[in-house]
Amino acid sequence: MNGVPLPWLPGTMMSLTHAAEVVLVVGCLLVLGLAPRIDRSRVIPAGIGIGVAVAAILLGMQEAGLARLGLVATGGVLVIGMLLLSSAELFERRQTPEAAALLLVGGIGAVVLVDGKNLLELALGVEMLSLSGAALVSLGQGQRPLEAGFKYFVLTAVTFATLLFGMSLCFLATGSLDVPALGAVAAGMRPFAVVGVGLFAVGLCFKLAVVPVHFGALDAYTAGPSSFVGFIMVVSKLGAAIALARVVSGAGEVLTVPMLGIGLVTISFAVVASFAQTDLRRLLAYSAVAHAGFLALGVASGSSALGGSTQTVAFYVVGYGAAALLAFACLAGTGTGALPLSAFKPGGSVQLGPARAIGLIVALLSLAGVPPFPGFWTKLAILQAAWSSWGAAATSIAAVGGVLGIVYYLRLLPDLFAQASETRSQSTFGALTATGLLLFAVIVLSCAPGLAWALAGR
Amino acid sequence: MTTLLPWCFLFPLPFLVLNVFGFPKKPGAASFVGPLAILAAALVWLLGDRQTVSVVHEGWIPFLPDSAFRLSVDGLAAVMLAVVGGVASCVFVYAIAYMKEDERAHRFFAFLDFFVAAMCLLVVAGNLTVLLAGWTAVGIASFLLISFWWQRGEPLQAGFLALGANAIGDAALLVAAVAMPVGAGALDSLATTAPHATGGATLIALCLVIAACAKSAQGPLWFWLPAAMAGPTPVSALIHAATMVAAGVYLLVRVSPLLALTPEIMTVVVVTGLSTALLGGLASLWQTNFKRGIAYSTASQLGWMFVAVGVGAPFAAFFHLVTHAAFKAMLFLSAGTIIHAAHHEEDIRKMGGLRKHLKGAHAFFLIGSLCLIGTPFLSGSFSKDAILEAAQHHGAPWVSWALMVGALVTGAYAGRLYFGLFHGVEGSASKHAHEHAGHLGGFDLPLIPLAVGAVVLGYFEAGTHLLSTLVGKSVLHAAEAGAEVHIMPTALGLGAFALGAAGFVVVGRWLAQRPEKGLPVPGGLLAGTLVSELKVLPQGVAAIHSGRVGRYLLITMLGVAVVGGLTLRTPSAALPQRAGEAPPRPKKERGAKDIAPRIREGVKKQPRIRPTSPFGAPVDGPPRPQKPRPEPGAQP
Amino acid sequence: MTPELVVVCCAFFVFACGTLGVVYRKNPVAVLMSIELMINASILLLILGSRMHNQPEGQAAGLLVLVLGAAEVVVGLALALAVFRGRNRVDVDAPAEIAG
Repeated sequence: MNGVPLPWLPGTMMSLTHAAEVVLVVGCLLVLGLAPRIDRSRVIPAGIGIGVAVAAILLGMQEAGLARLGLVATGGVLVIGMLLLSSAELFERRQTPEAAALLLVGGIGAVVLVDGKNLLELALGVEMLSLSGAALVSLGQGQRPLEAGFKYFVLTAVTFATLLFGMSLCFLATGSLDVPALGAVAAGMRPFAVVGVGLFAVGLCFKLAVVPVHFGALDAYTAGPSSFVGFIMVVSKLGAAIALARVVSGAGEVLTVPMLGIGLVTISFAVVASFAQTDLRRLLAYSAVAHAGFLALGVASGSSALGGSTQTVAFYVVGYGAAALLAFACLAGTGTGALPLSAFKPGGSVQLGPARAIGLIVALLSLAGVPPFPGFWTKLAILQAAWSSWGAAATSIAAVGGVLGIVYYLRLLPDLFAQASETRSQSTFGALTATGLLLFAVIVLSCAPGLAWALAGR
Repeated sequence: MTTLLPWCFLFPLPFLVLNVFGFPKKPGAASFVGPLAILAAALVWLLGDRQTVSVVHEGWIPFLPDSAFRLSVDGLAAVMLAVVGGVASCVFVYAIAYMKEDERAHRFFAFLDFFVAAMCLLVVAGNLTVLLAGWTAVGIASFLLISFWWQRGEPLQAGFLALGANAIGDAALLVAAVAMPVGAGALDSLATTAPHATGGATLIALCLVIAACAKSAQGPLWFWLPAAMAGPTPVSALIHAATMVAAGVYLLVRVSPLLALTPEIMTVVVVTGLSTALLGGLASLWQTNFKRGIAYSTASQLGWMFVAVGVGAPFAAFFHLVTHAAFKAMLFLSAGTIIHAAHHEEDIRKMGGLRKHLKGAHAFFLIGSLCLIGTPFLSGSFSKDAILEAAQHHGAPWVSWALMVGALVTGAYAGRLYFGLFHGVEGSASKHAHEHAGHLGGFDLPLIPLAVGAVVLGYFEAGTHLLSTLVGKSVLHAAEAGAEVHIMPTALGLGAFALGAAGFVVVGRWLAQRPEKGLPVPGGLLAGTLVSELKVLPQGVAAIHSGRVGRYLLITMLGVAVVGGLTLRTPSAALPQRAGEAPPRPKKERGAKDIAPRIREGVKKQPRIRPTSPFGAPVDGPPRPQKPRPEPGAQP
Repeated sequence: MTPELVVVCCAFFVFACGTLGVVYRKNPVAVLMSIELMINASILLLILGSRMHNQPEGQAAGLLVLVLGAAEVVVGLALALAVFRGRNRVDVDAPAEIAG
C-alpha cells in the first residue's frame, strides 16, 4: 500500500486518499482565506479548485481499487464543476470563491464516503455533502433556488438525524462504529443492530435520492443553478451508492430485500411520473431518481459471478455521472427557472448552439440507455447483477422501466437537431471546455466500457 | 474483400458525415453509394466461396455473460444485406426527387444513412449484445425519420408510439442478453447455450419472440406501424415495409434452432402471426388513409412470415421476407408518387381514376398488388406457396385453412386500394395529379429495379434452389429440407390465388365503388384512446409532489418507518452473513460476543427475563450458530 | 428496569418526539428544533453505548455529532431566514412553487 510518511510522527504513514483529502481541505481553506481579495475574479477560485482537484486525481492514480475510482471520479467531477463556475447563475457574482469552496467541501464528502470504513466517517461524509449541496443550491438567482435549498436542507437534516440514530443503535449493539456484520451481532442485541443498520441505510438513501426519500433532491435538481446541480447529483450518488453497497453487503438479507423493493418502486415511480413532465430540468431530476433506483437495485443485488456489487455500482455511477454532468454542462447558464420543453423549438427562448446541442443529444441518449452510450452498458451491468440475484421478475420490471424512459428522453431530439444546425452558441469558455471534456469521456466510455469497469474493480 | 463484409455497417457513415456538413449541395446526391456498396459487397460474398466471416474481440464487455464483440456473416446475413442494400439504394434515389423541396433534406439523408448503418449492424450481429445495439439503433432511426416533420405535431406523436412499442421489444432483448449463462457465445450457438440459462431455453425464446413482435408489429404490439405512416413515404417504404419491420422475422429465422426446442413458444408464434395476418388484413379495409391501408397489409404479410416460422419452416418465412421486401417497397414508393402528385393528400376518398395521369405509378402498383395476391409466376406466389405448403405439412391443418381465408382478405384489401386509387370517378385530389403527370421521371426510375425484383426474385428459388443453397447451412431444418419450391403452382397455391383474385376483383372492387371507399365503421382508434387514457397515471404520481415540505416530511418519515419495519421483520434465520465487501472488524477487547454478559450484569436482579432483549420482547428461536467469517474483501 | 433500559427508552422517546415535531410543526424554527431533538437522542445512545462497552470512542463520537448538529443548525437557520424574510406567513408549507 502506498502512503505518505508523516515527518512529525516517525514510522507512520498516511494513506494517499487521506493525503488527497488534506490537499482538498487546504485548497478549500485557501480559497476561503483569499476570498476577500479574489471575489471579483471568476478565474482564480476556479484555478485553485482545478489545481487541487488535479492533485487529487494524480494521488488517486497511485491508489488501487475503489479508492482510485473515488479520487479520480471525484477529482474529475470537481474539475468540471470548477469549469462551470464561470457560467454559474449566482445570486451575487462575488460569491464565486464561496461556491468554489463549497464545491471542494462536497468533493471531500464524496471521497470520505467512498473511502470510509466506519459509520462515523460515513456520517461525516454525508453531512459534508448535504451542507455543501444545500448551500450551493440556495446560492442561485431568484426565489426558486432558495425554496429548493431550504426543502433540500430540511429533508436532508431529518434523514441525517435518522442516520445518526441508526449509527448510535449500531454502536449500542456492537460497541464499535465499524459497519456491522449482522451475522456476528449477539442475539440479544440483534434487533438494535438490525434497526440501526436499516435507519443508517435510509439516511444514505437520501443522498442516492430514491423513493420515498427523494423529494428534497428532486426539488434541488429542479431549481438549483444548473452549473452546480450536475455536480451535486453526481458526487452524492457516487459517495452514497458505494457507501451503501458496503453497508448492505455487511448487513446481508436484512437490507437486500428492502433495497430491492426500494429500487423497483423507485424505477417504476420515477418513470411513470416522468411522462407527465413538461420541464426539462424536472425531467432530468426525475431521471436522477430513476437512475438512483437502478443503483439501489445494484446495491441490493450483491456480488454476481462477474463482479462485486461495489464494482457494478461504481461502474453505474461513472457511466451515469458522465452523461448527467454532460446534460447539465450543456444547460449551464440557462438560469434557475423552469426550462419548458417548448422553449427548445427553433426560434424558442433557449439557444444552445451546435456544440451544446450535440452534447445534450448525446447526454439524453446515454441517460435513455441507448447503445453504444455508457448508459446502456451500465444498465446491462446492473441488470446482469439483478438477474443473477433476483431472477426474472425483478429484472423484467427494471428492464421495462429502464427502456420506457426512452420515450420521454428523446422527446427533445428533433428540436435539438434543429438547434444544432440552426442556432448560434452564447456560452462561456469554461462551459464549452467542460462540454468538450465530458463529450470526450462519454465517447471513450462508449467505445471501451471495459475501461470504466476495470477502473471500478479491485 | 469478403472479410470487409462484417464491417459493412460502416459504409454509410462517410455519407452521413458529408450530409451533416451539407455536402454535396444537392441533398442525397451521393448517399445512395453507401447502400449500393453494401449490395455490391454482399453480392461479391455470395458469388465467392461463401465462407462464414466472423469478427471476435474478446473481453470487450467484461460484465456480461458473453463478453465478446462479435460480428458474423453467413449466407442468411449476406442475403439479408443484399436485400437491405438493394431496397435502400432504390429508396435513396427515389428520396432525392421526393425530398427535393424540403429545406432540411440533408438531415433527412443523414438520418437515412444512420438507419442503414444500424440495420446492417443488426444483420451482421454475432451475439445478442451487438444485436441489441443494432436493434435499438434502428428503433431510434425509425423514430427520427417518422417524426422528421415533427413541427406538425402528429408525426411526433406517431414517433413516440413507435418508440414506446419498440422499447418493449428492447426490454425483452435486454433480459435475454443478461439471462444467458456465463460464457454464452455466438447467436448461432444459442440452441446449445440457452438451455443452460437459469430460466431455460423457454424464457430466452419467449424474450426473443416478444422482441420480434415489437419490431414486426405483431400481436398486441401492432399499433405503432399504422401510426408510423406519418413519416415521409420513402421512410415508410424502406423502414416500415422492407427492412426494419422484417428484422423481427429475420431474428426468429436466425434463432430458429432455439425455437425448435420450445414447442410451446412455436405455438405462440403461430397464433400471434395468424391473428395479425387476419386482423391486420381486415383492419386495412377500414382505412381511409391509403398509406395506412398498405401499412396494415404489411403487418398482415409479416404475420404470414411468423406463421411460417411457427410451423417450423423458417426458410419459407425468409423467402417471403425477400420477395415481400421488393414488392411492398414498390407499392409504397408508387403510393409516394401519388401522394407527391396530389400535394400530400393521403385520403383515398379524394382519389380515383389516377391510371390516366400516373401511368408509371399505376403499372408499378398493379405489379405489386398482383404479387401480393400471389399471382402465379410472380415472386409473391412462390413464397406464399412455400408458406402454405409448410403450414399444410408441418402445422395443424386449420393453420392452412385460416391462411386461405387470409388470402381472400389479402385480395380484398389489395383490390380496394388498387381500384379505389386508379379506377372509378376522379376525386378532388386527382386533378393535381394531372398537372404533375409529365414530371415524374425521377420518381419512376428507381422503381424499375424493384419491379424487376418483384417479378424475378421468386426464380432464385423456384426451380433453381439458389436461395436455399445460399442460406441453407444456417437455417434449413431437417424437416424443411425435403420441401421444394417448384415453378408450377401447387393445388394449394392455385386455390389461394383463386381466393385472392376473387377478393381482388369482386370484394375489393365493390368496396372501392362505395362512396366511402371502404367499410363505414371507424377502426384503428383503439390504441390512440388507450394511450391517452394512460396519461392519468403519470399525472397522479406527479401530483404527490405537491411542493409542500410538510407533506414531504410525512412521506419521508413513513418511508423510514416502513424500511425500519421491513428490516425488523427479517427472520433471524435469514441472517447468514453474506460474503462480500464487508470490511474487517478489528478485534476489540470487548467484542460483540461480550455484550451479552454486560447486559446481564444490568438485569441481574430480574433473572426471569434473562433471555429477552432489552425491549422485553422474547428473543425468537435458539441462538444462531456463528458462521465462519469470510476473508475480508473475498469474492465468492 | 435497569438504568440502561431507562436510557434506551428515553432515547427512543426523545427521537419519537423529534419525529412528531418534524411532521406536525409548521414553523421552520420548530422543525429545526425537532431535528435537534432527534440528533440528541442519538447522542444519548452513543454515550450509553460507550459506557456499556467501555469504549471511549462512543463519547468522542457523541462530541462530534454535537458539532455536526450545531453546524447543521447554522446552515438551517440561515436558509430559513433567507427563505422567510420576504414572506408574511412563517410556515414550512408556504414556499411550494416547485411541484409536479
